[in-house]
Amino acid sequence: MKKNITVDDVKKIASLAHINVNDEEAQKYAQQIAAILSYIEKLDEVDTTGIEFKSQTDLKNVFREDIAKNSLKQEDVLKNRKERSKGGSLVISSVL
Amino acid sequence: MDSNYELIIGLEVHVQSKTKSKMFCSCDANYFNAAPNSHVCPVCFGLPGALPVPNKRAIELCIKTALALNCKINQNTKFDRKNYFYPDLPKGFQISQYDQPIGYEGYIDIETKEGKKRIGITRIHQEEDTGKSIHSNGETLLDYNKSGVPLIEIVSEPDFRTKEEVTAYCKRLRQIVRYLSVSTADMEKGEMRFELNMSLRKRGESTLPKYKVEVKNIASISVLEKVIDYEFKRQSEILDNGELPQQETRGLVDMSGQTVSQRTKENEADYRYFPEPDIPLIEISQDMIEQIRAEMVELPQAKKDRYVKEYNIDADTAEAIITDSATYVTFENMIAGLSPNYIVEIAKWYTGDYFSLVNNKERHSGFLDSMLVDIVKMVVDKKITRANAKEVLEISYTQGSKPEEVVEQKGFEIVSDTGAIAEIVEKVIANNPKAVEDAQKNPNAAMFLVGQAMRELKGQADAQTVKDMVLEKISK
Amino acid sequence: MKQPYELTIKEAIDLMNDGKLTSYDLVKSCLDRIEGMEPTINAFTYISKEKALQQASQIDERRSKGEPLGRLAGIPYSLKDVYNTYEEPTTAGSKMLDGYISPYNATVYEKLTQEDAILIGKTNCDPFGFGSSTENSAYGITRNPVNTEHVPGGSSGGSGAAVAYGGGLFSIGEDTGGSIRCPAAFCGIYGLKPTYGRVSRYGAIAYASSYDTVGPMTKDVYDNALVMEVISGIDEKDATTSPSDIPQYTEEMMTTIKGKKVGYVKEFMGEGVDKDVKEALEKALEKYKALGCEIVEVSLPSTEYAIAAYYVIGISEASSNLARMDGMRFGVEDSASNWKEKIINARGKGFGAEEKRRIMVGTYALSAGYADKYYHKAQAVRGLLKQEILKAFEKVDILVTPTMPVTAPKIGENTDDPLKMWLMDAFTVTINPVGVPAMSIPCGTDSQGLPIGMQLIGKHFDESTIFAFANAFDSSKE
Repeated sequence: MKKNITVDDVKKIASLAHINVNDEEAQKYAQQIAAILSYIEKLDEVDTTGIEFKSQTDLKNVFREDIAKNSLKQEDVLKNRKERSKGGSLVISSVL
Repeated sequence: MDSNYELIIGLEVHVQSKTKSKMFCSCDANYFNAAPNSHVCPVCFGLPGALPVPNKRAIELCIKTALALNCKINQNTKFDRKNYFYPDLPKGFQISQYDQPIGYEGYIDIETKEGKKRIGITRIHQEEDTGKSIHSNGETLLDYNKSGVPLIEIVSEPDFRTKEEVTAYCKRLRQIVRYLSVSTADMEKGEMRFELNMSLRKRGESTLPKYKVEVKNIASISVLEKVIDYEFKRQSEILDNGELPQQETRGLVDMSGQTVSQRTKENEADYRYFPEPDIPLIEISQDMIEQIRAEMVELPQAKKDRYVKEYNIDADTAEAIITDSATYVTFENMIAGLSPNYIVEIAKWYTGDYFSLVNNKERHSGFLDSMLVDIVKMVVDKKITRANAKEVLEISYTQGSKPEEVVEQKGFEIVSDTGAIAEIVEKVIANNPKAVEDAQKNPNAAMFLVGQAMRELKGQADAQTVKDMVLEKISK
Repeated sequence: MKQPYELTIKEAIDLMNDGKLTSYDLVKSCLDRIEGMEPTINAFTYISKEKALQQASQIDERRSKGEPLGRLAGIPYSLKDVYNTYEEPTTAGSKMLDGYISPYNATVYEKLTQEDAILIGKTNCDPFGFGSSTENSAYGITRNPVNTEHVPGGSSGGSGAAVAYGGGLFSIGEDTGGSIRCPAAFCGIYGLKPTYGRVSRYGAIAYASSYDTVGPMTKDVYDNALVMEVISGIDEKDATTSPSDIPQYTEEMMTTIKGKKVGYVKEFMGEGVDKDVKEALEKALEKYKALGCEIVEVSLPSTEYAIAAYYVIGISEASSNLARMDGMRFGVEDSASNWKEKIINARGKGFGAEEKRRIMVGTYALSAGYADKYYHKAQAVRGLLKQEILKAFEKVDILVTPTMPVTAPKIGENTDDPLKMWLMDAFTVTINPVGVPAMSIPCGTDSQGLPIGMQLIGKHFDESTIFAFANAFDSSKE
C-alpha cells in the first residue's frame, strides 16, 4: 500500500528531529519518504512470532572500575568554539 | 490545609551518586568548584565517535539503594536512550533506563504526627546527569562538568496525601542515601533534586484525578513545600470554578514556590526510547545482590524504632541521634556495652548539652567522647548533681580536662554520708522552729527546710535524700 | 619495475628492510601520485604532506640506527574521514563538520601510529556513511580510478579510490552496510568488514551503533591480514569489543581450504544480478570446486526483507547518533538567539538531503505510535535473519556471493532515486545486522573492464577462514 506523506507530515517529523526543512525541500522529501515507507511496509509480511533480538553482541556485564582519570584540557574542549567561550564556559546567547 | 480537596502527590527524586568517576567515562565526578569544562572528555561532551562504558560502582550503588527501599531487582537489565534536544544534553539523548529498571515495586515506611505510613516505590533506575546552564544578561553559559555524573532516579507511587508526608519521605530518603554512602545528597550542591506530580480530588472520592501537574527542577525540600502550597491554591481555585486544571509540566521562576506553565511542544516530548546499542546487556547475579546486601547498614527508621524499644529513648531524642551516620556512630560507640539506665541518660545529654557545646564552643583536642559517658554515669550514680555535671562537661569539652579531676578540684562530689546529712538537717530543724511547724501541717512547706539544708551542704547532696530525711525527722 | 606507490605493504616492508627503499621515498612517491590524481579523482578531504614526510624521515633514521620498529613502519596509509584525529580535520564527508578539529584520536589511529604507520591523509566519503557511491559528500564526488566516468562505490569511496590508484598503500574504511565492500568491489581492491566487536569503534563517527565496523582496504590478502593483526583487539573505551584472542591472520591465511564446504546463496544469484557478475561468480565457485571444496546451495529466505530491516534499524540508530550535531559545541552553527531555533537552523544548514531524509525517517520509525511497527518489527526480522545465517553455517564453512549485483554505475546514474540506491546494497546489508565478517575480493572484470567483487562471508570471529579462501583463490590465478 502506497503510503501518503504530506508536506505537513514532513514538517512535523522535521520538527521532532530538529531539522530546518523549507517548503521546497518538504515537497521533495514527502514523495521520497513515502516511497521509502512503502518499501518498509514489506516487514509486515514476515511472521516473527516468538523471535526476539536482544543485542548485537553476546557480551554481558562490560563495566569500568570506578577510577578517575585525566579529562581533556579546557582549551581542547573549547577548541571548536574559541570565539564563543567566556571564562571557560561555552556561551550561547539565548532566551530559554 | 483543611478543605474539600485532597492532595494526591507522587514524587520523583534524583540523587547524584558519590562515585570517583562519571557514569560512562573516567572523568573525575567531583566537579564542585572546578573550573568550567575542566572535567570533560569526548564521551561526556558528546563528541562524534565517543562511546559510553558503564561505571560498575555506580550500578552497585543503584542496586544498594533499590534493596534499601525494599525493591525487587531486575536481574536482566539494560540501558536505553532517551532522545530529546537541549543545549545541556550534549549527545541529544540521555542514557537512562526505560522498561527494565534496576529496582521496582518497593516501599518505604515513613512517620508523621499521624503515625506510620507506607509509601510505594514504583521504580529505581540508573541514568546520567546533564551539563549545567547558567543564565545572565541574556546569555546562557554552558558548563559540561556535571554532564555524565551518575544519577539515581527514585519514583514513588502517588501515595502522598499531606505535605508532611512528602517532607518526611524526602528527609528519610536523604538520610538513607547518606547512611549507605550512595550519595552525600547535599541539596545546595544539587546532589538531590525533586520533581513533583500533584493533583487534587474532592474528599471522599476514591478514583485518581483525571489530570496531573508536573513541576520539575525543585532544588530543596523547603522550596518543595512552598510549591505544594502554591499548587494547592492554584489548582483548588480552578476546580472551584468547575474546571479541570491543565495536564502540563510547570517550572519555577524563583524560590518562592510560584510555578509557571512551560506549555511548549516539549510537553508532549516523544522520547523515542530504544535500547542503548553501545552498552552490552547486564545480568545482575544473585551473588552480586547478596554481596551488596551484605554492605547494607541498619536504616534510619529501623534504628530509631530500635532505640525507642530497646533503650527506652524517647522518639524525638532518637530522631535527633539518627540524623546522620557520624551522629549515630558516635552515639553507638559511646553506649557500647553499657546498661540501659545509662544509655537513656546518655542519649538525653548527647542530644542536649553535648550538641549545644558542639554547635557553640570549640572542642579541645584532649576531649574524648568517653568523657561524656563518664560524666553521665556520675549523674546516674548520684555522684554529682545534674547542675554540676553541666559545668564539668563544659570544662572538659573546652579545656580537655578529665572529668574526675574537675569534680575533685571543684569539690563537686555529692555528700552521701547520711550521718553528715543528718547532722545538717537536725541543725536546720533546730534553727527554724516556725518552718518545722508549717511543714508538719503541710508537707509541701518542707521544701523551705530542704532548701536551707541544701544551702548548708553547698548543693552537694542528693535533693531527694535530703527531703526524705527532713520529712522523717520532722514527723518525729 | 614498480613505482613505490604501486607496492603492496609486504613488498614495501621487504624493500625497506633490505635497504632498497626509504620510507621518505615511499611517502614522497605516494604524495606525488596523489598530486597527479587528485584533480580528477578527489579521493582525499585532507592531505598531510609535511607531517607525513617528517615522520617518514624519523622512521628512516631509527631504521638506520637499528632501533626496533613497528610492524607497519614507514608505510603510508589513509583514514576514511570518519575517524577522529587530533591534528587533521575530521569532516565525515558532511558540511556539518566543515572545519571541525577533533580534540582526540580514534583508537584505530593510535594502534596504527604505535606500529609506525604514517597517515598520509583523510579520505572522502558519503556523509556519515549515508550512501553507496560517494556522490553525497559535501566535498565533491570521488571518481573511480579504473574508469573516471563511474562511481568508486561508497560510502568509503575515497578510501577505495586512494588504494586503487596508490594514494597510500592501504586505507581504513568503515562498513555499516557495505561501505568497505562496495568500493572494494567497484575499485578492484580487497576490503574486509570484520566481525562486529573485533576492532574498536572508539573515535569512529557513528552511523549505526549496532552495525558499524572498522576494517582494512588493501591491494592484496596478505596486507589485509597484516593490518587486521594490528588493529584488532579489545578496547576499554569500546564496551562492545571482544576479549577473544587475535589470530595470526597472516599465518592462518595459508591454511588449506581443501575439503571445506562453500555455500552459495540461492537468493543472491537470481534476477537483478548482472550477467557478467553472475558469470564471474560461477567461475569462482568452479575454481573452489577445483581446489577441493564442496559447493552447497544455501537458502536465506528472509534476505528479501533484510534491506528493509537493515535500513529501519540503521537509520533509527543514526537519527539518534546524529542528534549530537546540534551546533552548540562544534560544527556548523547558527546565530539565532533562541536555542531551539539555533539547533534547528544549524542542522538545516549542515545536513544535506540524504542526511535529512535518513534522520527524518529514522526519527519517524522510533516515534510514538510507529516504533512497534517499524523499529521493533525490524529487530524481530533481524533475529530471523540471524537464525537463518547461523543455520546456514551449520552446513557450510563459508558463504560466497557477489558483493554487488552490478559493477560501478556511471556517475549521476542513480542520484535521483534514493530508494534504488538503497536496493543496490542488497547483498552487503544482509551481513551487518548479524555481525558476521565479510570480505570483498576482486574476481574479474565486466565487458567494460570494470572490476567485479566476490563476497566471502564467514562465521563470527572466523576471519581466518575468509583469509584462507581469499588467499587460495588468488594463489590459483593463472
